[in-house]
Amino acid sequence: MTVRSQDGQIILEGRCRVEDAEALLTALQQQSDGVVHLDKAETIHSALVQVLLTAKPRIVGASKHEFLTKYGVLKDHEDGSGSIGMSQSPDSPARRI
Amino acid sequence: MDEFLAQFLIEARELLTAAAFDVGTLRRDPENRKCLDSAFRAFHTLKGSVALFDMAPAGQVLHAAEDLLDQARKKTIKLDEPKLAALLACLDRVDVWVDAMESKGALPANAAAEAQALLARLGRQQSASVQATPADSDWLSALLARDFDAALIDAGGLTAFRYEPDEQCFFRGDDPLAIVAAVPKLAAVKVMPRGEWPALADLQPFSCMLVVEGLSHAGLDEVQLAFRLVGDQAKIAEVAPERGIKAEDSTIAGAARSLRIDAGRIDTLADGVGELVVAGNALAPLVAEAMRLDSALGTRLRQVQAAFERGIGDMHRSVTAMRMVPIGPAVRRLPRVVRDLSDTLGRDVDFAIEGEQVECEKGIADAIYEPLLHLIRNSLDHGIEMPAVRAAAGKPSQGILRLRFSRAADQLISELEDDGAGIDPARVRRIAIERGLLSEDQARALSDEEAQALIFAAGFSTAAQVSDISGRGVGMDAVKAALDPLGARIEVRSRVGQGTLVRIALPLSAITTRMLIVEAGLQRYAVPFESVAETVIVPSERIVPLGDHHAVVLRDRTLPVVHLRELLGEERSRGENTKLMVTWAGNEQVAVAVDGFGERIEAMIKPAAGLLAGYAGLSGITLLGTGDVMLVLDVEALVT
Repeated sequence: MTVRSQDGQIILEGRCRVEDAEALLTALQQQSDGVVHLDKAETIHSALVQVLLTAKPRIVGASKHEFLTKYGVLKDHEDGSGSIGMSQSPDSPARRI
Repeated sequence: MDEFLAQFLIEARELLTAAAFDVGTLRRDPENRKCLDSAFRAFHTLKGSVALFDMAPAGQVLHAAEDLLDQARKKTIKLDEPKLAALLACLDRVDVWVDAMESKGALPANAAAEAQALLARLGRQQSASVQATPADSDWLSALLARDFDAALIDAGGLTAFRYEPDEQCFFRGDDPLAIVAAVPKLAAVKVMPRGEWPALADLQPFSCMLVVEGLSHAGLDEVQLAFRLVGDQAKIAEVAPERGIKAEDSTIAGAARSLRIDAGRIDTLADGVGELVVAGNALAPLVAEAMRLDSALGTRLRQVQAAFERGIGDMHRSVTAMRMVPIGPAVRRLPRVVRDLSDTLGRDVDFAIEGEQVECEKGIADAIYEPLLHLIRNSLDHGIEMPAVRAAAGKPSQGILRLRFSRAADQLISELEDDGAGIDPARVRRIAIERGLLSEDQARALSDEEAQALIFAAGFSTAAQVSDISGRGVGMDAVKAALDPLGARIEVRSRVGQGTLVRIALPLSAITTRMLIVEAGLQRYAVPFESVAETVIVPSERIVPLGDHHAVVLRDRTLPVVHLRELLGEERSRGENTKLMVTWAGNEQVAVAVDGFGERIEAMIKPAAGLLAGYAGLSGITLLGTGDVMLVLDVEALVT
């Protein structure tokens, strides 16, 4: 299981493939203020990135998927810049549904 | 011509042909999804290529047409007959514009007005048309206006890209961000939604809505390479240091699978191979002679000769195959001609071409266009009746005109069939008698079929009959005159009131003739091999006067000698030796003295035109591989 929910935390692990996007979406819908941990993720498929960019959860840890962090696609929320993707406003809260 | 433009002309015409074919198919089979997709792609690519030239009206029209097709693909509209007709009109107009780009380097002055009319037909609100869809190159300005690091952009040396994966890409196994991650020397990346991010509840997890823009320090080629598999979804351009746009917006075309070669080069190659064949033929007697002198050496030579001939044979076949082209492109203009003509003549005609993929030699494909055009004009002018006339005769008001190509053994068969008025044999007989082509008895003796075939006889149609449409002062005999030199056979089948079928059988490849080049004075002429019995060089003193003429004794036979220079109205040359070409005059042999023998060639003889046409000693002209024109002598006519 590459998408795991534990104590209000959503953890991505290993190689997250396109088919995991639905599980991630479901998890985020159930825990709209959930924090997503990326540090155990090796690769993250675009479909999951799309879910994360839409849901804008708090993100913790940098994925081993260097591309996503290096170019600021998914930023570690703890590093101060606290933002994801194109949204440059540091205080963008997790979207409530 | 600008090489870029030359390439565009070729490709644009191919795309126009492909699109017209697809739209034509959609008219008959509106549900044909494959054709719809392929038409969309053709319009899309065409729109992209016209954008590289000063052809804005064409771009607007094609854009609107592409939108229309896209909506049809998404099933939000149905492509009804008026829409399909508008698409065809759009292709016809762009075709005319492409011609104008070739001849004048610019669109005609009325292009913008014509484009507006077409846009209206395509159902495009004009005011909205331009603003609603920013031109393709605007993406780069938009990208540069985003909050990328200004210092980065000012430093220059960048390649920008905008990648819009299509919605279905996840299903195809694409991982768009992985593709972007593989772009070399990435400098900056922005991931954004197509439109707005949806509410989480509305997100379709497997439908891709990402758009990725980025900058790379790598060159245009390297970035294109990275996007090669999704070339239709990525736009890539170089960024000049001053934020200017250096390179054209380039959507990567599919990797080239073929190489365009000028037809003249293939002809040169074929000529070269032809000469090798002839040279190879000369080896056989030499090998036989070597065998007599030294059988061991002879055997080795024979093996070499066999290998040589095999190799040449293969090469000859490959070159012949290279010159084979589908007939389609050669006749691509005909549908447009039919539409234009039927409008002018008030005919309503359903025209279609079948068998466009049939292959024949390029020379044949090119040569058949004019005759077919003439036959089609004739069919529209004299065959297919006005809609009212047809209705009165109990026929559908729309006439049917079909052009079919097929292959039978080594022949290309073209059939042009209409369901028009047919050819009245009685009327043909009467006209033939009036024009003095036949006596009344001769005319009566003809079968109906033979009488109908008279329409191709020289002198049958006269200027009085020629309308604006079916002639420029020439009749159907022009068709026959154009096809005869190619070895064509023409048949007509026609039934009064029911229609006419003209069937043309042509060799798939042009008939080439082996010829010997001879010199007379400073000129070189070609003589068909079949009229040369032998060539010899004799001491000039062996040519002796005989009455008013000269003669030579060759192998105990006395042959009359004539000098080619004299035959051509020049002074005869004198020398120690005389070169003789022995030829026939009827059943007698005649020796023709020439100044020299040149190489042997294999080429097609074309009928002489213009001033040369009436000259009896000339059987035609031939084009050499070098592009030079050479006169082909009819030696028999010269010496008799």
